[in-house]
Amino acid sequence: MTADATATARSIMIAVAEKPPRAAGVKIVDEGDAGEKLAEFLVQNRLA
Amino acid sequence: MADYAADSVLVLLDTAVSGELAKSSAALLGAAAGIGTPVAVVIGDSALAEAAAELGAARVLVAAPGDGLTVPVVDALEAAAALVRPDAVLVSHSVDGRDVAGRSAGRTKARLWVDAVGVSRDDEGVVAHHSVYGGAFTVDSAATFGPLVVTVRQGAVDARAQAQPVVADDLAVTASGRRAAVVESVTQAEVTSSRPELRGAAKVVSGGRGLGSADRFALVEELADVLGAAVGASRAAVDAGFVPSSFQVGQTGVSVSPQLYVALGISGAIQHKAGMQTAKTIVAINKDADAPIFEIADFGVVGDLFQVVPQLVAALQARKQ
Repeated sequence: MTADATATARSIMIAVAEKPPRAAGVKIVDEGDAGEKLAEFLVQNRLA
Repeated sequence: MADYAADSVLVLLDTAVSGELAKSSAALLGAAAGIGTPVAVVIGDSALAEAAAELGAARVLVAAPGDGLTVPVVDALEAAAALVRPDAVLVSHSVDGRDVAGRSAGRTKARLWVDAVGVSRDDEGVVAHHSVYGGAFTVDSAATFGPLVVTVRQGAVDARAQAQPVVADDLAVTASGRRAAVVESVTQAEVTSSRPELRGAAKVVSGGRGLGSADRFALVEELADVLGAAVGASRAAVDAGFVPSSFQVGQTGVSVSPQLYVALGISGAIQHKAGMQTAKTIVAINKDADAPIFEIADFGVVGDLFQVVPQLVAALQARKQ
């Protein structure tokens, strides 16, 4: 081991940030058509 | 052999069992193109070089496969690094990639960053971004000097590089002759599922205790198949014996960063959220309106999943036709 701190590269942390809490999005209560609405959401966001 | 760009980034591409480039390749080259000139290292033949150029590699170094596990790849990467003098070496955070990255960084005395979710460049060099404490914090880190080796989490990078003309060179590798494990025989496990693998999947549908039984867990699989998604589970579902532990998403299971994560009957314990809250879009269905999963869901449905999911599956199937 060398005592020279410059002899070996080190990892340094240059920034840290708490992630903004995920904003809760839409929350619906099923009234018999939640499956349809969810399908709509997925298609609109190109996830289906 | 021509000189390499000063901002070269070496990218080791995994080869899948099928002999093609692994699915992680596009994201690795996309990440590399964002911080410099991507120079790919492939282990195999010129067909892989063409595939790598198609995905954005400005140059491709082709190394012949050696004998033994991992060590020949580390030898090739070491030779490539000596030739190219890259600012960074990007490796997939796969089982193979992690093994290579660790050995490679050890040999070259490079800094090693594991499981990065992105890379960028500032005035002083390459910066890696990590998502830590289960995604609650982001950390940027750099090396004081010298090269660095980064393993990049699969599915975390969306950027894709433009296709490049094929410029391939054979890489001369001097085998280090270090001892390596040898595969003596391979038996392909019978493929029982056409679903994507959980780790690295673009879409994941997970089920929890709310499914109630192993039989009813089939509902999760049904939705996964209509979405082309991988199947996951909460620890509660695994502990209840609905599915094997390899399905478990969370702190003690697999961490995923898919485009879409659908949580069915999962309350959203912190341990579960730790493994999935970096997903781009989260959808949750739960009958308990106070379930913590709704705090992070982009679209939450309070309702009976045995009513909602069949309707969803039918609606999605109808749109496909």
